[in-house]
Amino acid sequence: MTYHEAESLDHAHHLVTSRGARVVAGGIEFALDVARLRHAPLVGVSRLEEIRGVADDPRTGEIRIGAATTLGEMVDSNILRRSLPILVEAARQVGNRRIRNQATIGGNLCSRLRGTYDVAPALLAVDAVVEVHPGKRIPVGDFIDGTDPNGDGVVAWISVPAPLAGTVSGYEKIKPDAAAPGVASVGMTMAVESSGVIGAARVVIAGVAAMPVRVRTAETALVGSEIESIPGRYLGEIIRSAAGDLDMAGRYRLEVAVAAAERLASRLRSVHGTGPAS
Amino acid sequence: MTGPPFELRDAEIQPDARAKLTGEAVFTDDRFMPGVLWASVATSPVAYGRIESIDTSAAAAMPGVVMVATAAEIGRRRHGRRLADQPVLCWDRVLFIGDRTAVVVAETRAEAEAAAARIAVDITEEEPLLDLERVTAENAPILHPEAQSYRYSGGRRPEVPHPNVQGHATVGLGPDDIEAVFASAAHVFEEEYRTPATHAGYIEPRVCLAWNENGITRVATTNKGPFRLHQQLADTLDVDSDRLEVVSGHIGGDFGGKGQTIDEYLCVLLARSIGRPVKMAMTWAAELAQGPVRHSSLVRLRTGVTEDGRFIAHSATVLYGGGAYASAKPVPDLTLPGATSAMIAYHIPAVRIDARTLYTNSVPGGHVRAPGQSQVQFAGESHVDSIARRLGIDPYEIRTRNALGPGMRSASGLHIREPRAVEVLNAVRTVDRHPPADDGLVRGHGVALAARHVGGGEFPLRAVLSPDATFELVTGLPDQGAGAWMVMQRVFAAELSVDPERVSVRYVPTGETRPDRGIGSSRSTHLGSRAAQLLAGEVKSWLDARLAEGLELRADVFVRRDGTDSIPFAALVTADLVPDPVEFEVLYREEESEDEDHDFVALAVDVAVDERTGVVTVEQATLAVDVGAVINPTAHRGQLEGGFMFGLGEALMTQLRVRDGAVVEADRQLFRIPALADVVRLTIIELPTEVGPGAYGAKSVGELANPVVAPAIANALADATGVRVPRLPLDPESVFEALTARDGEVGARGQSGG
Repeated sequence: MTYHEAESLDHAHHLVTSRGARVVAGGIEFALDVARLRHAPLVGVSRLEEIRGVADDPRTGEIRIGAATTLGEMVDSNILRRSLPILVEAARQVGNRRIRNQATIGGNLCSRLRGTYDVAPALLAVDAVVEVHPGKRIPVGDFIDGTDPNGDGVVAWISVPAPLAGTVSGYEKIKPDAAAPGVASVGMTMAVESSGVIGAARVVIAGVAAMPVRVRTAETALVGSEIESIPGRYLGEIIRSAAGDLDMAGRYRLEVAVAAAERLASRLRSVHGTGPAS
Repeated sequence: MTGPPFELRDAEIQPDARAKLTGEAVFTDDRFMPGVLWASVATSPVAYGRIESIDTSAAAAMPGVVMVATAAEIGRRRHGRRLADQPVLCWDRVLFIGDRTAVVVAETRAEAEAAAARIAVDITEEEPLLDLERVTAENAPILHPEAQSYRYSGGRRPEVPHPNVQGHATVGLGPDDIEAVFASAAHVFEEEYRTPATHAGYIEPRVCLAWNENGITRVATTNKGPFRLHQQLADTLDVDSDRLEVVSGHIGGDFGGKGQTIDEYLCVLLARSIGRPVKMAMTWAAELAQGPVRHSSLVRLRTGVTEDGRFIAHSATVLYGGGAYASAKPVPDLTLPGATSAMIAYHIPAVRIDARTLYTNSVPGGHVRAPGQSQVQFAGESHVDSIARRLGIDPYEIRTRNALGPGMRSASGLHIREPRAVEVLNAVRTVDRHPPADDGLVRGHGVALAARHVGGGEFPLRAVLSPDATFELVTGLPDQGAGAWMVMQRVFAAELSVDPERVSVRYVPTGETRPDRGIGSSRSTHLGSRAAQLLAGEVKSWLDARLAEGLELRADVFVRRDGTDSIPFAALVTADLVPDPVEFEVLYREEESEDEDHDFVALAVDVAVDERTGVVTVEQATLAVDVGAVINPTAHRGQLEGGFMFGLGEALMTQLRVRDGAVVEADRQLFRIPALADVVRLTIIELPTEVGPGAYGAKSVGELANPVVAPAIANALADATGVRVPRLPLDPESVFEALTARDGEVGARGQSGG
């Protein structure tokens, strides 16, 4: 087994393209699957300062998260807590604190089970873009659906459009015990206008299909409603009726997703009521 | 008898704590030897079939391969702790997915595994026998047609009612015509409960290493009963017992599962035949798929009750899924120790219990913490609760009315010394309930009551007194972490009134001391403490004989009986008094008695149920235990807390589902046990007594807490929701399905949590 410490993004990219190296960051996936992954040369990117941390970039109107940022750092990030609580709540669902201090957002997005680990569904709900060095920008939905994470690039940044004023967001997961993978989860963002009317919404559910899915009928129904008057059960009915189209597996997981969505909507309503989220 | 000496009330320091903390402790997998070879087995992919041929040529041609063997080479050999029914390698048929057909020895583990995957076995599949209720049906295949010829150790194998029955145990109490008693009852309740197979869930997998030394084949093992394994190896492999030695020692977790290990048979054979050390280690997937596992169960209970809730007649049919082999069962009747204990804490005048372990084409059943008992305790304590609810009687009240009292015979057929059922119940009954909250969850309270035997038998122990005034206790009993060595050390030191630091424990292999039965069956504290007491008595007599001046030992100091003088222990016990090391040896033998020793235990839990998702959360738990005398306070508490969490796992998440004979969870991502973050607020109420068979009245503790957890939670779930789930685990999906059945439709339950 050979391991190279990347000196720069370019260096990592060079090792990937010229030597067929696999990128390793926190090493969680590697530890879980060492028998399969030990054969390729490895290039470590977790110490690359250029892809660490969370930055609010007013020029582009984006919040950028370095791929080597740990989930623990995301949980502690003031920028994310203020602007994108959905990402904080989703990151907190992964593993335990020790795992989160090691695991990175980039590694999580490239893992084999990325569709069910909580970062991807939350990123899908905030319209994130994955920046792959050099020079590619891939919407997160396309990235987790099709992109080979061991292709010829190195995941460098995840960019999220800075939410509009009045946006509330959150992530709700139902799991029976601490180490359980979880039954189902829901991520939701709603841009609420000063009048209290929902101007834009994204709803993503995970755990009911192989990959997280956007429930567009629910989003359509939310837009134009007053946030104070969304009946929780109405949202559940929409998700249930969307289930057929979405090819969801199992009524139990669906019902759990419905419960999670209703609870999250209710929680976001009270967040909105208690003060501005941004 | 008086209570334990004062020094035993202080928290203990494990004799092996330093070695474990510094990494010096050698576990079996830490052992390496120059020239070691690795062995790996080929296993059957089908649950039941006839072996037509085995082609090993492709495997033999693989890199690094030293030897490939089948039953044709190693012989038709069967092993077992009591009944030798499991082939070391199969020759004519395979009886479960995971049955072994060939073994490969190679220079590295990876090479051995790669070559084992190339063994081609041609098997004609047959319809597997998997349904417990079909096992003795007329058209069921007989899985062991030649069972009469199997070796059975310790006398004659008891008769079984059908060749597919491994073992059979019955209890019959009261009049011959029990139906007349049922007919006289005001109510008769009949219920059925099921529990799945589970795994003990230890961290260290089973590992062994065999090598030859001075004409002896030595085998290092994770087995907790090295003397028994030694005998089984000799019997199975036709090797002279003097030519073998088994060494165990530190064991990385047991939870009942490390009494049976099976790689040793191949390891010893291969090391002897090749002349090099051979090592084997189970993968986690093999641990789950090849077992032994906790027996699944199907329990039918029928109880006749008077109008005021007294049990007057009870019958039980207990079917355990024994899997393809009975080899992991040490009990003479080849059932499980707790098989007849569903209603053990109660007195019922008329009882019929019929318990059977059954052959199926599934992973073999073995021992896991409170084997047999945890299954029937879930059934029995759910049943009692269900009767109470249907009669409108308080669950504590119905238990108190029927509880076993002094002089009564238990419904399991035993006379139990000092039955403390009512005491433990009352201790948990008075605890404040968890406060409700306005969070949309529904809440309930549940209780369960049980009793657990304290094991016995005989136990040898040796001590060596050195001129430097230290003692070494010499034992062949391994310590799997529960503290058996510490029990011997502390009791021995307390009895002699010397500092425990003067007493070390040395574990020795089977060739160097007299045999014991190993760790298990809740007997180690009883046997180890009494043997240590006896041994200390021998040492005291010897010292008295040499110190005729009237000195007595008190707190590491010899004091003159008239109080005029005192001499430190180390100042007197020197080369003058002990010029050479002196050896002392005892064999403790439990006295025969009509009455059995048991611990009683009651658990009360408060749960919150999320009816939308089926998630059950235990908010608080109170355990009242009849503890006897406590020798290792920290380890004792650890056993109760750990036992509770073990039970919580089996109640809510742990299971091995067997589908078409294959273990679904044979993958690390699917097998579930509780994590640290699942730890529940647990209050322990200890009720000491001096009426226990161990030193100072010590009893057992390791298997006490876990069997009551699942029924207490199931009863609290029923209290909260009105729904009784008659099977384990009470995972969210099962609870959800049961609630949906209650409501008649999906989505009928109101919005909650907002």
